[in-house]
Amino acid sequence: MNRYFILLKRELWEHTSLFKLPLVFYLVVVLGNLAFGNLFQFVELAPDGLQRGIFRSAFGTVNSVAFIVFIFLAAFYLLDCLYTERKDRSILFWRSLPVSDTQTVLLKLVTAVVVIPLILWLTLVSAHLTILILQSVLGTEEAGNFLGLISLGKYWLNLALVLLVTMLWSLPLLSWLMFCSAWTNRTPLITVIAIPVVLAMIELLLPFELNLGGHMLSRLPFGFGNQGSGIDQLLGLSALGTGNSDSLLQNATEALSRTDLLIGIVISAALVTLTIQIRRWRDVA
Amino acid sequence: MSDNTLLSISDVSKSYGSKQVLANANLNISGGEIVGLIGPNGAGKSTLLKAALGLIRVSGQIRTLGYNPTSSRAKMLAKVSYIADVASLPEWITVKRLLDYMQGIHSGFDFSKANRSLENTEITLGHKVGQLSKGMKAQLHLALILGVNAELLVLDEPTLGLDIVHRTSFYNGLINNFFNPQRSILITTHQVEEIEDLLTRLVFINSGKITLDIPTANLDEHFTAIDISTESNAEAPEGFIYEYATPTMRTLVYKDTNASALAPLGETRTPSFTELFLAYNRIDKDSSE
Repeated sequence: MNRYFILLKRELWEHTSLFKLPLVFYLVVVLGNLAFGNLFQFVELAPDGLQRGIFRSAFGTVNSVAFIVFIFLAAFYLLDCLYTERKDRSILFWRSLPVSDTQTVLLKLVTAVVVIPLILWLTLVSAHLTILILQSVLGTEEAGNFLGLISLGKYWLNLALVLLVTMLWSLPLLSWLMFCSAWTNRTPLITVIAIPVVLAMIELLLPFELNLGGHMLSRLPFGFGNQGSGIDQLLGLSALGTGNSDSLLQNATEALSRTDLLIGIVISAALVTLTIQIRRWRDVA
Repeated sequence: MSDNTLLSISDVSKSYGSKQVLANANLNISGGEIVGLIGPNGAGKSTLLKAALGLIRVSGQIRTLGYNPTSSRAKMLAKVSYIADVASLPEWITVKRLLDYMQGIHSGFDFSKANRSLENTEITLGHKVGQLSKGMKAQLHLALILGVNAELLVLDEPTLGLDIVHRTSFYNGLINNFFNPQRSILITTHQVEEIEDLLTRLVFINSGKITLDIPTANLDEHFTAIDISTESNAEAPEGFIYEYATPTMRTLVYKDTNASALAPLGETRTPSFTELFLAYNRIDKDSSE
């Protein structure tokens, strides 16, 4: 266990943005609330239902921005994680140590799929709490009441659920990023985009329709590029704050048993296997 | 194959397309040996080392510390250290974290031993690798190796690009702090003369074949060199494997010759590695074997 812990620490040492960026994000939330003061003061005037709505929309804004920030964080981490070590030749050193390529590659994937969402979740929970506390202190007395109005615990649990399903749904896309990081000779980002575009164009020439482009786009997390088939609609991201946690749990369970989610996981497994083989046998002279 | 065998390479061949880079190469290394694998560019040195370290697939059989290096690579690397390139340490990591990392992944890593070997250098735990000069990086890499307590150390041109001061200090550190009768070092280099006093065994490789494999202690039994003044009228016997002439001196190297036949011509000596290397890698005619 200690071994995996040090491997994980190594990832955070190398990719300092994984904790620096969330910290910056959190500070922006705090400063934003301080700067704009009694942002929610008018809540006092509103009846209960509206108060909830306003806080939900405050949380919702913070969530949306955080999701975007973290998508880029995860994407650039994955693009970088097996490419930079080849570019700076440090792969020669890493590969001389008793850590198998399977361990290395899986740990990097876990960093992107588990650790980064965990950091995101912790960042959001801290941000939500800070908003509530600051608003209470800054005079929005109703913020105190708000704590009693929605169940924060449930809200955060729902948030974790959304992140979990989203990561599993986007796994093929994330694995594709990592595969390109291990595979391409230069600028993995170009390959990441170019190959799906070419595939989608080739499909146009086919006499039947597979909707490849649509399927690939639908894997973008958090509903970006949502083609109507994405998991996000089912999850009802926007419904996160409705407090209807039972329906979210039900939707998430439904999402996890979907065939296309399983197909995605199979594709990911294939891509990860290829990535391990490339890391294992690539001649870096 | 004795119990003390750390590396055993049997009938190993490797081709890239139609180009054969290793042709039935054999090499066994036991504890307590410092083996120099020496050959011209493209002779197959690096390929052989890569095969021993499980970095490429080859035909034939290789056992490194008893492990199949391709299928049990990570296990093998717990006992084998190698430096592929002294410039390969990650630039972004601090020395302290690098040692922490080594301790985390190597069960036998001795942090304090590695740290002690940095005491005589200008390297501190707070340094980032990127701040170190190339010579200091080599010192750091050596400190990591010393902390690992590996049984076999494989070095491929370890001092490439280092100045003479750092090269010497690198080899001194290796001999004084790493080497003991249970351990072995396999080393390739172009700077033949630099490891002349180090090696216990000399192995030449050319065109993918091992052309010479001899303990350095036995060199004088088999090889004789003689320097004959050009003023001398004495007729040197035929059969030399190497000849080198300057305006004042003619140097000849003989293999398995009767030294007493040479005695009248002057004082005989054991040839240098460079002379042997040149004898075995002549480009003016086919190699002697």
